[in-house]
Amino acid sequence: MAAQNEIALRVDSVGVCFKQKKGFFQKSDFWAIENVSFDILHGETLGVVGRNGVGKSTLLKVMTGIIAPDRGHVYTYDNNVSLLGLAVGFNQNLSGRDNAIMNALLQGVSKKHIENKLDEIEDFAELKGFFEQPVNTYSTGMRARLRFAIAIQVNPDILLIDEALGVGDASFSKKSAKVIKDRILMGQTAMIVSHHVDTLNELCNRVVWLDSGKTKMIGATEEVLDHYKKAPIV
Amino acid sequence: MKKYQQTLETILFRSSSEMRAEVAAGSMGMFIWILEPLLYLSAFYIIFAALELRGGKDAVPFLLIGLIVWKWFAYSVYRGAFSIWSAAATMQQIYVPKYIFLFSTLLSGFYQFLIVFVCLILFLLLYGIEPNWGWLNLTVVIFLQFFLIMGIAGLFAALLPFAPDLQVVISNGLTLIFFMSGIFFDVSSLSEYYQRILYLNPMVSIIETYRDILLTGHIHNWSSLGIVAIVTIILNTIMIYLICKWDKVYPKVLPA
Repeated sequence: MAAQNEIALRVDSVGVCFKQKKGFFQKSDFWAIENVSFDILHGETLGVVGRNGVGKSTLLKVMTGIIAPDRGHVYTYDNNVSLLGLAVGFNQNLSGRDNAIMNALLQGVSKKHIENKLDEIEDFAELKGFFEQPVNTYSTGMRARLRFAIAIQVNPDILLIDEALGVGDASFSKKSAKVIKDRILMGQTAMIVSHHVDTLNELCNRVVWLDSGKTKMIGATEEVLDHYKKAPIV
Repeated sequence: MKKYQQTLETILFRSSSEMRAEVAAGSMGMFIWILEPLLYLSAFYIIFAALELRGGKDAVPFLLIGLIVWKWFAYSVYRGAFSIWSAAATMQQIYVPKYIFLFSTLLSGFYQFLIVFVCLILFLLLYGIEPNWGWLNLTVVIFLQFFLIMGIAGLFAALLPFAPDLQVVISNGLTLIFFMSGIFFDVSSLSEYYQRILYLNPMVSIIETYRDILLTGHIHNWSSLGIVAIVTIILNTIMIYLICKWDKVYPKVLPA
């Protein structure tokens, strides 16, 4: 068990560059994030704010190891980091059960563990009678519920959440947001990227403000959000 | 160790579920895998008869062996070549070693081949061809073909995200190789000049070896199989190097 205030993850001067096609055989560099640094401490919830296009999604990809930084480092100290997988795709011709196993395996959950949790997933996703049917017969809401029910089976040391805490209709959204909030309140180390100031105020110990691919401010939630709200929109 | 077990579980589950998904997507289920080579066979048999290309008592097994072996090659190379490309959405959400997509697609094609191949063996027995211990050599050629497919499909899978135009090369290249693989003619009956050119295509040796084993019980040309094995090792080495090197670059170049 790691001690509180011990660093769980360090993002150190990270920059990520994408190649943009300019013409025939011509490409130019575009730095989605240029110089971002911060730490996440064990047991804390760090919020990330920033306008659209400042590099929040790219930052999440670097932190989860989906892409490698072109400059700087992400130190995870052997902690596993994973993004709450609410957008992982399904194989439309397979049943909800098969997709649950497949997605969980891809997200690093063992087959034995997920097989033991299938009934729980079916119940939580409220899929009675549909779990054995192909996913292409599901409504959008059913798919979102199934994705969420699978995603919460992944138990990383550091959980990254992109925007939404809850999914689906009003009642499921409340139920799913509660699961995440409970997990955070139980001491899950987490990072929430969100535009919802209220959510960040409620759950985060500290907030990082990203602007133009750089860390603009980092500090206590209230203080950073106060500055963020007052900042002129460019 | 746990990590490797997880990877293996993922590849095995993904390959079998891909196969089930394909069966579920069609209306004829697995029957289409057997029907397709049979339709090919009838088309070519008519051309054979019309052109008097190759008659004789073994014409049907000769053709069928070539077609079934080719089908596995073409289907798996094509599907395998797109395996990393088509996983673009998944790799934007979670980190997955990219070889998982390639291996599971190739294994799924292999399972399909095994089912059709068992049907071919049953057909040959009904046709009156005597089984013999030499048939055990089939494991050698099946193993070799699997790795040849992996090398070729993997190389295309590695490059395709950077050069989407390669799609044209893959589909036209497969058509070209189809006509140059000795599926409906005996390469050894051609002039030495053409033989030298056609033997550059490793599928010629592979198909010939299947026919040798199934129809005569022996592998006649170990040296050409040896060359195919060397080519296979080189292709796979390059492929593994590239896929590992670009493992975290693919999510940057592929569309979300």
